[in-house]
Amino acid sequence: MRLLLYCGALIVACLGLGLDAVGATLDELKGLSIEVNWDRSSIFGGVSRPVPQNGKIQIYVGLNGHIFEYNHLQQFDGQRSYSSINTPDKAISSTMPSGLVVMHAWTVEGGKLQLVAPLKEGFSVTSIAVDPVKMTCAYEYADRPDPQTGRVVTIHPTTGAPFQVMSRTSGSYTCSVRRGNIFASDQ
Amino acid sequence: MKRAILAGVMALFSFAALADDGIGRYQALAIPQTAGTVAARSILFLDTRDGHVWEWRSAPITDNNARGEGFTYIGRLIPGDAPTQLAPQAGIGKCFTFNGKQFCE
Repeated sequence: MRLLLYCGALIVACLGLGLDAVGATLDELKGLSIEVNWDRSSIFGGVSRPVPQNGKIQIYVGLNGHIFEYNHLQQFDGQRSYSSINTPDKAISSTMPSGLVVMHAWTVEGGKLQLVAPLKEGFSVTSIAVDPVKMTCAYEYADRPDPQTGRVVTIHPTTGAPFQVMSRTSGSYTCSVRRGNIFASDQ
Repeated sequence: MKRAILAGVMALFSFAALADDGIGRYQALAIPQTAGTVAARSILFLDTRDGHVWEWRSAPITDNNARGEGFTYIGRLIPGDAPTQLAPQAGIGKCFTFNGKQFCE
């Protein structure tokens, strides 16, 4: 009887841990691919109406820890895309066909995969929480104002013209996780 | 007021152009709007001597008649192998710090 109770408690504890397991270490993410499709609405200073934006992020975490990324952002009057291969906690600059440079870095913070990109003022922070057991993920985007100016100023995806971000409204997103390399042609 | 400032800037460009070589140092290029869009109107100003580019942009009129317009410095075009090559953006460094953590290339 005691053994049954012990086993029962163990199962409950494991299930409880499973519910809380939204984070993952980099090792747990190796060999996994993640795809996020998102949309949002942004209000920029000097632009009289909200700007709908949407994008796609595809990531593959290689077995050696490299992060392969494709990142696309689109709005009504422009778009930008980049592909990069990087290691966590290391910055990389990607040059767009227009000549614009986007600097960014991947890191793991609080069990979440984070993409941090310095803006003209402030930072953009994309967080992806992956549950490698359930093979689910959650996506979150936030702007972090510049500590000195208190502002968030981004650049136009095509022209590079600066626009102050007044507010953002998150829309819907889909996030999927699967094993294997999303960029491999045989997947 | 904004239109007056714009007119003043345009006049300065014109005088500078007259004082420069045959084609004029500053050239304006209107960017055509795409049909069926609410894209902002914009005009590019190019400094033909040093390669600086500015954009004058006018956002669409909204219900409350608010309008956003003004000049933005875009960057600097430099002679290169590829056409319209932009000079490296100012302020792009090799490292940045976020949440007390430094990320370097």
